[in-house]
Amino acid sequence: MKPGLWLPAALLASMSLSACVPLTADGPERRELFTAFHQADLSRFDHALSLEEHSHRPDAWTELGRAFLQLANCQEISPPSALLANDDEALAIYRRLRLEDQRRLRLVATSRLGGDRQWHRGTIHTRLASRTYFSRDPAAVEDDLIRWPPSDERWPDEWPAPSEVPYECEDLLDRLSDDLLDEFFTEWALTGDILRADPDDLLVKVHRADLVLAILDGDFDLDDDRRDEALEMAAEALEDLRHTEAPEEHERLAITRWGQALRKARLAIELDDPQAATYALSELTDHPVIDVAETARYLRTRIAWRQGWFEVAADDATPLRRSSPLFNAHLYFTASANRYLGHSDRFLGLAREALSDRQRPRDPFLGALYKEVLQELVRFDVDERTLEFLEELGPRAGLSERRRELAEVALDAGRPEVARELATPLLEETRDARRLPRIHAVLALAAFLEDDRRAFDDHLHELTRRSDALESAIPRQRRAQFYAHRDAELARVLRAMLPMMAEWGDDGPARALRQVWLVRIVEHAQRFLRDAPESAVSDQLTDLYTLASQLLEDHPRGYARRVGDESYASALVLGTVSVSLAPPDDEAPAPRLRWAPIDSLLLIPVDPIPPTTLVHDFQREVEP
Amino acid sequence: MAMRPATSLTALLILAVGLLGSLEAAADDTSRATVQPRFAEKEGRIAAHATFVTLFRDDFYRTVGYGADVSFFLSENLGVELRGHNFHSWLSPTAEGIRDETSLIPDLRAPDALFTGGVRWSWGYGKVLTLDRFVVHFDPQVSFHGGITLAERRVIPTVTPGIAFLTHWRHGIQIKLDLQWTAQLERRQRGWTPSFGFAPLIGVGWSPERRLR
Repeated sequence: MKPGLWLPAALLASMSLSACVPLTADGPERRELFTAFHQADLSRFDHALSLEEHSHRPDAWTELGRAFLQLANCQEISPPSALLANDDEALAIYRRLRLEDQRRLRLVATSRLGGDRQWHRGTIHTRLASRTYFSRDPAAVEDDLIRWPPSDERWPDEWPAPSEVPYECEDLLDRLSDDLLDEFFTEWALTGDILRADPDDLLVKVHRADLVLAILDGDFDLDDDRRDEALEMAAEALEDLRHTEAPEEHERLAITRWGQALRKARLAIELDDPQAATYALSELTDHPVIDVAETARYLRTRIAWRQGWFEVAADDATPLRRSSPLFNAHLYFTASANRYLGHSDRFLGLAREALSDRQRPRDPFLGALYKEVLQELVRFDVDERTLEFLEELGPRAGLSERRRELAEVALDAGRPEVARELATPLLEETRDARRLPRIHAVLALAAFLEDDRRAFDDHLHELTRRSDALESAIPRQRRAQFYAHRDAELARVLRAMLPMMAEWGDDGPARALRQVWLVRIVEHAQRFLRDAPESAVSDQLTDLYTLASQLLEDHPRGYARRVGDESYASALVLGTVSVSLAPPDDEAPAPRLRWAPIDSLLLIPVDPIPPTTLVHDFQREVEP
Repeated sequence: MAMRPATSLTALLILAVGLLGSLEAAADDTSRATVQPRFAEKEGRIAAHATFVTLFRDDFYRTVGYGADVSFFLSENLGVELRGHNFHSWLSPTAEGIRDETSLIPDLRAPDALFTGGVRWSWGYGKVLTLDRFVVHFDPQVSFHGGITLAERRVIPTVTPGIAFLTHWRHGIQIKLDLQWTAQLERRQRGWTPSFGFAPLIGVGWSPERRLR
């Protein structure tokens, strides 16, 4: 052999004969997958998964781990393989993970519409979607390790190097479908998958309630089919919650018995199920957060009042805090319910509480309550207590006005003696002459109802009187404006009398009495039209005069007008119209019950794998 | 820097002369980098090799030798080394014919021994799959030695730059192939005369697994 060939030959020979390093398929022994994930070290978690995959022993848990990594990195979750689908426990965890991912998509989509950048508030996504929560950089390769660059070649004695896990949550929106509602219904379908496998899953049941309420609360243009579908979902969610109780273990996930009751109440309200709503709201009245408790009390009272369940509405007789925006409305419903139940003392007591230092004109509920108080007061004779109560209903400066208003209510209630007793002193007390016509009008009507013709004539005289001094001072063309207020009161009195007379019946004495008063109306109207033809109410009085004349049985003018005039006066329909004192329903405050969202729907395995422990959130204290 | 050589000896040799730089560019960027433990670590370890060497010069001599070297690596990349060779030289058949006919022998003396010291730099790490079964791990290296050659009472300054291929075997055994060039400056009858040659060397040695420091 030539010397130049010795060396290669020797090398080959030595390689063939000696113990070279055999090629083996052994990888590192690792079955701790999730520790790094709990410690928020994504790169290490990714590395652990890669090691499993490299070792040719990946199983359902490896695939599940990869899905957790995708979730943490906002990537689309891969569909389950047959390996995962055949492992019941891993599959159950996977389904939760898919649901959490879908919830995130939905929250992001909803926030995009509402411009709420804090879409992840109160959920695990404050951590999952955070750029800084996870460590994404790979650990440095140890000195005794060789790092091979990426290659298609696969050497079994190599294993994957740690690598960076880039932040990809900025691309989350790319995964959204065009129709936001689709995201909701997809999420609902995912909850259905979970509940089919485990019908007792409280966490998912509660989440379903949140989900369907988000659909119903959302600013969506739901067509009939989808609305019906949503309402069916709500009914299903409510039924689920009715039969479950939140155990203490879910306290941290914001599922407490309070949360349960809040959700049940909201669902029942959405479903227009007052019985379920009041029942659920009753559970909340001792909520430790005073705002929540008061909101629940208000809603319960309002619903009961609207349903006519006055016993329920009257039951909550303790007023809310005065600073509460619901104070007035709550007190109105409670007090009003007491009144309907005949609990006059409790009603007046609550009214006094509400009206004593509140600005009544600004609030429809206080205004309505005030009217109901007046109606209640006129049931009693006027005494010191009545006057004291009137004093307490507002500032002292407005007492005369309140007395006059009470007198008018007394007239409407058919208590002319009460009206008279209240209004008569006002003639002496009232220093503003502009208010006197209204008082005379009240007293005139009281006299009419008491059949006191003399007093009636006196008060009507005060309304129709034109003093010579004023006549000479006020030009004719300005008199209509000057006397407008007084003339309007006159017209009001005469206009009010006709329907009152119609209610007297049709027997002999009533007809006779009616004729007496019709004559008076005709005479007063005739005299006024003659003396003050320029009055702003001339047209009204002419109509009234004509109508009263037509009703006269034996008055020659009435008869003549009746047979000679083909143009009858305006038709007059007599009767009683009952107008509710309550403010319109849309003026009632409609506070929303709110609660913290479920923190996490996840179940995260705790090493070793397969796990004996599942947790809902990261456990950063897990030992590496 | 690590590299992945081709799977034939020829390719190994090509790698050894540093022509493999372009292989990395062909790697799939989407694949994941991999790691593996060094089959043998050098840092802080001493290694000793028995060597067999031959020296080629256009000098009418046939020269083979044997010897030993001892190295110590300060890091995985850089080591220092001492080396000694004892040579056996004989005239080539051509030179013997000239000597027999003319009684002339070459002015250049036959080398008897070589003693050098120098540094050795591992600039990469590689492995090669052989026979689809065995993996040989190796370090491509460059070395630079300086010393003296003893040649029939002459002392000749000598430097030997070279490239090397150090393979790691089980139990700390190492086999290395050094491809050295020699440059010498010899004082002949016509004065100081440079001469150049090539000295491939194969060494078999051992490095204990325990570090010295």
